[in-house]
Amino acid sequence: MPKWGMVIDLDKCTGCQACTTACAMENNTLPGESWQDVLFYHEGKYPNTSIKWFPRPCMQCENPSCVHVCPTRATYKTDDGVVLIDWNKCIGCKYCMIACPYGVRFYADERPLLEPDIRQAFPGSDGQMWSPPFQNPESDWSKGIGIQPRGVVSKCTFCYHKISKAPAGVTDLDEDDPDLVEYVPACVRTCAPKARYFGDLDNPESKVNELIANKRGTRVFEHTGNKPQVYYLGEHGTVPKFDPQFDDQA
Amino acid sequence: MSVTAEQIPGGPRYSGNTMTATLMLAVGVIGLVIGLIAAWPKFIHGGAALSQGSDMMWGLPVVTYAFLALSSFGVSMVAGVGAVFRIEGWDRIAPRLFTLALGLSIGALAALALELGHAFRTLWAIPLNMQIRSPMLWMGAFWGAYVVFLVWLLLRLRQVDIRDNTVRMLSIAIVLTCVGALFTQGLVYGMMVMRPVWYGAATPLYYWVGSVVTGLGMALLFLNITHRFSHGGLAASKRRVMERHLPVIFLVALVGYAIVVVSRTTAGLWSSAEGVQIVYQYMVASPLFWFEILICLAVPIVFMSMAGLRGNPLIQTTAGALAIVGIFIARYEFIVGGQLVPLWKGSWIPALVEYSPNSVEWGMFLIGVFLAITVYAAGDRFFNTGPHRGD
Repeated sequence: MPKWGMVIDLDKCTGCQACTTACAMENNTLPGESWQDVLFYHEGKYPNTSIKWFPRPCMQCENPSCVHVCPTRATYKTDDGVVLIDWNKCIGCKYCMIACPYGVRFYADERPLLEPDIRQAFPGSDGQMWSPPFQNPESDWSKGIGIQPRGVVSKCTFCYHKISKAPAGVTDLDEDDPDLVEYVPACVRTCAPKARYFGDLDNPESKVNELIANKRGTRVFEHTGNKPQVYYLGEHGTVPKFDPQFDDQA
Repeated sequence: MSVTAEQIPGGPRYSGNTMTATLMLAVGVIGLVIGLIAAWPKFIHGGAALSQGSDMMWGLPVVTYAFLALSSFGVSMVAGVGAVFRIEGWDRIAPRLFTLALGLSIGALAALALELGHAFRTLWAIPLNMQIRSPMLWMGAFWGAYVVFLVWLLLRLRQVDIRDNTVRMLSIAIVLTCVGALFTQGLVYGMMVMRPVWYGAATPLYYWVGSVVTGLGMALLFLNITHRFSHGGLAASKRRVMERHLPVIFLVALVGYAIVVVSRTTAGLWSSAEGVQIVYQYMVASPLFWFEILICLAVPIVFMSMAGLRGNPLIQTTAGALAIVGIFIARYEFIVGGQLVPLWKGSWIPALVEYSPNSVEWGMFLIGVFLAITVYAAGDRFFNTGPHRGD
């Protein structure tokens, strides 16, 4: 059984948001409900300023605090290392969102994050929160795949409907391999500069392990003990310190 | 052991304040209706009707639930002291306080149920899946047992005296389960290392101290209202409790709580943990914080410090009400303050998360509060038929 993980090379990432768009198209997420996002940060003060960006999927942690706090075990970790949500068990208490250091969980049953509210344009049917005309046919509420019902939390699944069907024994899911391309997560497959890699973290021969070892892969927010299964390469591998801009807010 | 009203020690029976209970019931029902009207969009639009969202997950509804739950536990601890240790006079106020504790818990459960995405699913999903690592599970278990013991005790009190052995055992069970629920609720926040404003072993203790203050404040407020702001008709032992014991213990609790608040604020303002200092600076800069400290904490301390004043029913009521408001503000600052620092949101949220409750959330608050008042008043009006009738 593999332990799926992702490596993101920040030196190659251009911040184009193609991964964000591909994820939204693949998983039918609402505008603003970005299971995969690229965060932008401004650092420094004029004239010495810089902009940084940070692609951020769910970290699918080895020791996921969201799983530990969920009182109904709706959030669980699969044998192949992916954290999923059973929407049939989720009570919408949002404790997992509180406990996630990475802010990658969404409670879409809220005011629209972006206007206009697309849920009103495509009202939900069959229990779905909203029902757009074009949907991914893969849907499994016990794994948090598809369009969620109201009142539950959603998150990135590493495109579990794809990776769970990969042939046994595969070490890396490489979009350049025609035999494997259909099993590659949408964000990895669409990444134009090939900044993302997806493979088995338990296999020492995998490309992801090679990259982590040779390029000093790092994980973010290690102090929380969550041990993410998403590694970052490159000089941007730290999250900038939170520096609120009260003047801007005012 | 079953006894008649005439056998109860502690002086003559006090005629029940039926009119007061009826008035409180009317106020409770009216408030409940106003709350339902204000919160109605929640029933139509679900979570989309609320101001809270993915950036501020736990807003005013959770603050309301936490406040009412902790108040219930505090009131039960106050009542439990009398019932468990059989302190003469103190045990006379216990039945009414246990009714208030039940009302507060029901109000808290209502606020929580309205906030949850799937409230009824909790009834089977939590017990059937048993995530024992979650403090929320243990809080629910302790709280559930606590409510069962409370109902059992109140039913039993309709037939027997407060000094009945089963009642005493149930009182002990209530105190133990409410302390368990109190501490596990503190752990719900205190275990979150990723939320540094909440994180720490002292958080459950902070909750406990605040809960005791609220319990005593609620006891003084509701008992004085029920007795129409007069201790004249009370039995000597009960009067002694109302005019001497409770105010002095309230003073000690207030001072202890003030020390905790000053310690937390000082530590927060000088903390080097990312985000903590900023949040405390933000809170201290708010007029709400100074209203909490100067009006809701310092004034009750001054009132209760003055021997000539602390026995006065109106002063007690004012001090109790102010302390309750102060603790509510503290719960709001704590729960909302712990989420003010956006977790990894980039430049889309350049400063602290902005949140202000909307009318629907205030409606949910009113539902919780007035449901508690309604249950208390209904208990006093319709079910106060046991040996303690009129106490």
